[in-house]
Amino acid sequence: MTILALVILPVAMGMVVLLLRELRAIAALLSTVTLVAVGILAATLEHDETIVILGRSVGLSTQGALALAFCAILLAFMVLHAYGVSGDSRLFPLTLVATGFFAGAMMVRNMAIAGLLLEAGMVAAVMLIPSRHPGSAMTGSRVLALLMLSAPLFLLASWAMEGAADDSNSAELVRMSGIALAIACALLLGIVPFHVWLPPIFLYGSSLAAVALSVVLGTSVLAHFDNAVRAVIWPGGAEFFSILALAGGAATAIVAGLIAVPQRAIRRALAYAGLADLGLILVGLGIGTRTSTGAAMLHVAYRGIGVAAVAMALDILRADDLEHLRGGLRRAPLAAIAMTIGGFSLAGLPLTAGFTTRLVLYRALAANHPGWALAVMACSIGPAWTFTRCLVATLVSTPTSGARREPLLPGLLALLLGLVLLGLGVYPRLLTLLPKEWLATLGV
Amino acid sequence: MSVVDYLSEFLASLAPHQVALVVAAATASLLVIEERRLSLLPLLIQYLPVDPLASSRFYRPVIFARIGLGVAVCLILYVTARHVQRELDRLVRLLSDENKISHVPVERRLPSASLTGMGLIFRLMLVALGGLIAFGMWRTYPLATVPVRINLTGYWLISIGLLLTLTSVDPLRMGFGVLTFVNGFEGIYLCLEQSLVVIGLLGVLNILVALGVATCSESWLESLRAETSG
Repeated sequence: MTILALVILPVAMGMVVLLLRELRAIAALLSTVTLVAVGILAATLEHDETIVILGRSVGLSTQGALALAFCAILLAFMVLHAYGVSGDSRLFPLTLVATGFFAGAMMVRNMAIAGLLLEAGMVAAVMLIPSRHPGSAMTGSRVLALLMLSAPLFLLASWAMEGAADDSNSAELVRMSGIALAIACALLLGIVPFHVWLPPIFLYGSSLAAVALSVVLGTSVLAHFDNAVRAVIWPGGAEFFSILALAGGAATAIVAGLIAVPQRAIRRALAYAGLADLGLILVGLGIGTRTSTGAAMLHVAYRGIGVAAVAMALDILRADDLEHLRGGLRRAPLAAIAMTIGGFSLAGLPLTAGFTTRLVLYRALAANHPGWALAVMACSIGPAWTFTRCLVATLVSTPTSGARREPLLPGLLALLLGLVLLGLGVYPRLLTLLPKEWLATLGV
Repeated sequence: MSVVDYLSEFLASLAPHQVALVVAAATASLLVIEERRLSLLPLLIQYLPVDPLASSRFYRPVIFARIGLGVAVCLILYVTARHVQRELDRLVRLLSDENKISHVPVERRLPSASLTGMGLIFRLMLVALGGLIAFGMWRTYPLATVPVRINLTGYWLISIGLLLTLTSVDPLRMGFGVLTFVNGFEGIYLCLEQSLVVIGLLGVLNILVALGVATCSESWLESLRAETSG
């Protein structure tokens, strides 16, 4: 029954933290401890443990457990960061509730229920968007309206796949439901051509909202998609999803990489860099070999850490564009270093963790589609160019008043994430410290 | 006779097509009514049982739970609608006074003061467009396993919900649109899948969407206040 704690604990603690939200320090501490506990529980769970509740099977695969543990720990970092930069304490209970729903979506095998839990988590995460920034409220409601369109698609896909899969006459219906499932996932992942909703969240929302909706939601959607496709697949379905993932991923990596080049708003550039990275993950999953799938899964983690590190650093630097980054290294050295490493990892530059997995994915793509590999590699220059400009801007010396000092806790958290990316980039064998079962899942 | 029995009898006495007509007419009025608090009434009516659950004795308690859900959603939104309407009325009065000096129309400075920033004819045309879309969808994609009245009402709610979301300029009205869209889909979906867990989770999702709409609306009101005072 430990598995149920992964859902019940964060939701119940969310209610407690909601009552204590005025006591910011206690609320932040409780939220962090809960998220870390969820992460540890997920990581140490017996992966054979499957229980049946109301006739539905509930369990967590090794990939699901890894994904959940990673998301929970990353959110714990983000909650501490939000506390450190005087973020709204309303964000803490919402983060916990969203985590509970996402955990449920990863665990429940029934597609309709998992889809609804995913939608519930998405709505809770959307509530993180409204902030003091003008424009955040409208962004929140637009994102809510757009993402709710995926709910009918999930439910219809589940009804057709689970109800009609055995009936040979309904093969066409099942195929259509596969398309509905793919569109719903694409919408929630924000891949091209559904990428329009993600950049405004980075621009107007808090960094917690950006990480929750771009990293945690994305990881949950990929886990749900994996469960759904494993459960019910029609003849030729695996090839169909592979082609969709490959084409969608390559298009996303290319388009997002190109759009990142002219961006002067750094948060927008970060959103496109994250999208381009997501495209590469889909490419890895679409190729479908053991190596490429493992590299794609590892890249999910590196991308998440990279996005979180840069988003945290930008909060500390209070920088929306390149002008505001000037003198950043002197003003907030920890954040500037974290931003540079995180950004370079997202861009896939050498000596960072992002490079190690990108190299594997590029090789796998080049073996099958050399033209696409060249195009994707060429477009990865976009994020690299953007983050190089950011680095140059932080190096420029400008007079500072000295009144605004770098907050220590958020700075250290961002630096820690940056150092993880640097450490894994310089010495990838650090990964061998992980349990063997995890390494097998990651194809290491 | 208890209230529950009385309500059960009342619901049973309504013909399904009557309920469908009331729901459709009420939903159309969402696009026309300016007053936000009043718009909650058509939203509440959408939670009336048009679906076949209404005719099943087994699902009778679920119908009441669903009506209760509608009441809860509307109560959540009522608090926000009251804030938004009151604040917008105050801002309109404030800007009207300033208008005497600056001569800039209030509608231009505060487009969300009116329903969609457009006139009554535009809104009536939207209703007509919604009807056309719903009828077109029903003719093109009639669902064999779903009764006609539910199919048509569901498509109607979906099209009106989408149009309301697309043409609204404030989060609250966008939220009304999203909830209408979700209700339309639920009406159809509950004919296909009648699992109690799914019905329960759909209820949770409705509540969460209402809370999300309320959060966005309150934040939008804050930024509007800051914008007009600044």
